[in-house]
This record gives sequence, C-alpha cells and structure tokens, in this order.
Amino acid sequence: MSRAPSADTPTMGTSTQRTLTFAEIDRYVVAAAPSLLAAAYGQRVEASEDGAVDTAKPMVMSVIGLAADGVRCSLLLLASRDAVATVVPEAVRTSGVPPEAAVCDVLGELANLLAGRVKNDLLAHAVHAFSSTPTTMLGDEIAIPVPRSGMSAWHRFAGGDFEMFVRLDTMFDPGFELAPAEDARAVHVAEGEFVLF
Amino acid sequence: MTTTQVMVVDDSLTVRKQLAQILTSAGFGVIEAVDGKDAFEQLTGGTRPALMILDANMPRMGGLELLEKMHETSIGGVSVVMLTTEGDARVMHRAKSLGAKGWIIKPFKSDLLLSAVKKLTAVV
Repeated sequence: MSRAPSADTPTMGTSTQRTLTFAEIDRYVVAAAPSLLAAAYGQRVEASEDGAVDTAKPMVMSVIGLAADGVRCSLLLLASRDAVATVVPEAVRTSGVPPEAAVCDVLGELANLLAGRVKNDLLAHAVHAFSSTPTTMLGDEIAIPVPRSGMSAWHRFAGGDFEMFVRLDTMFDPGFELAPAEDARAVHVAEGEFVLF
Repeated sequence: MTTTQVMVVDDSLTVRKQLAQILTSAGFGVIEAVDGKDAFEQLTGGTRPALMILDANMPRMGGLELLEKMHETSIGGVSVVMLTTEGDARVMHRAKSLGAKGWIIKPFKSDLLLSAVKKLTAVV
C-alpha cells in the first residue's frame, strides 16, 4: 500500500524507510522457510550465516514474484539437485516421474509455499499482493541473475544433507510505507486447518 | 459399490501425487488435472467427480476462474474445496460465493485433509 506520510506520522528518510520495510519482509522470509520445509517435506533446517553457493554442481533454481501497490518482490530459491532429491516425497518418487522433473516440481512448490506465506504475512500490513506461478529450471554452473536495483538479501538454510539458498529482491515505489501490522487484518486460518463454509 | 471419485486440480505434480496417494489409500478414486483449463475440459467431456480439490493460483486457468466457468456453464454436482496458499479473506469469500464448500491453506495436513474429503463426500 503506497501512501504519503501524514502530518501525524513521523517522517523518516527515504533510505531508512526502505531499509526498515525490507528488513520486515526479509524477517518473514527467514521465519517461513524452515517452518515450510518441515511442514511440507519433513526437512528440518536452520538459517545459517555460513556457506556459499557452489553453482558448479548440478543445480535447480526456482523464481517466483509478488506484486502489490507500491512494492514488488521476488524470491529466488537455489539448491543442488542432490539436496532437493533428499526431500522428494515418496509418493512422487514411486510415481514414475523422472527424477529431474521431480526436483524441479518440489522446489517450485516450495517457492509457491514461501511466496504464499510472505503474501499472507503482508496482509496484516494491509498489503494485498498477487503472486506469480513459479518458474523453475535446471542448470549446471548456473549464472545467477544480479538485481540491478532495489534491495536484496541472501539466506542459507541447512540441515542434514539438505542445503538451500534463498534470495529476496524487493523494489519499493517512492514514498511506500509498510503500515503497522494489525491483528484484525491478519490471516486467522492456520495452515493445514480445514475451514468449512 | 462404485468408488467415490475425487479430482485433484493443481499445477504441482508433487501435490497431485501426494494427494493421490492419501486418497487412494483411503479408498477414493483420483482424477488429476494440471490446471483449471485441463479440469474444465474434463468436466465438459463428462467427467463428474464427487469432489474437486482445487488450487487457486495456476497457469492457463486459475481456481477462481474455473469456479466462474463452472457457474456460467451450470456444471453442478461437484463439491469443491480450495487447497491453496491464499489466505486473503476476500478471496475466500469470492470462492464461497462461487460455490466452494471449504478452504485449506497449504501446506496441508494429511489427516485433516482426508477428514475434509470424507465430510464433503459423505452425502454425495
């Protein structure tokens, strides 16, 4: 939601404002990835500051976008095919689906879940975002696109044989401010819970 | 006794295969559709599942658009539960107005999903 500061709203420098807003959204990403990996694929991970992306391995990458008034985000998920193969569900492994298609789809669905969680977190801030469908690709020695503008942050999530890198990219329109989170606007349906209309 | 058929509409094969395994293990028949367009073509071709588990955000045709087309073409007799990452109450209300019977936010829990399927197919 893009709005100009009112007379009652303390104004912040634009750079500070963007940094704080980015940090809020980034916090949602860091919280979401481990819980979604555990819930969807039974894989426990922790966010780690150690490690660097080694794209010399056979990799799989998935990208998904979010767009709302005043703000646009993308999430880039990157992992080795061997790592993603460790979390492919048994139902998929035994279905006859080629292994490479399976790892693509698993990472793509994880990107979808992550974007969905961030989108739902932003509802509390009165930000109604639309998300794309994920685009997933396999590659050896993938050249990772470098964002030309906006703000970005990389995160590493690792546990056991699994390791994944996630990059959040954001762009804000001038004057965009993230409204304080309000419980009344938040999603009150828990993930997995069935709501009967 | 005929097997109760459930159509799973999701562009993720991971989701389709996981749901198929859960549902077939519970005695349901499963029909898969890769997106709303695929599902609509199957429905207009005569396929009539008792229940549809429907994702919202899909290429070619999303879940809400499919519900609209089903409404426009009077395709009835199919209960629909949305299975989606979407948590926006406005979208839920829209789906409800188009005839959806329920909502589950992903990631799903197998036992709760199966319970929902059994509840929604019990009177069909």
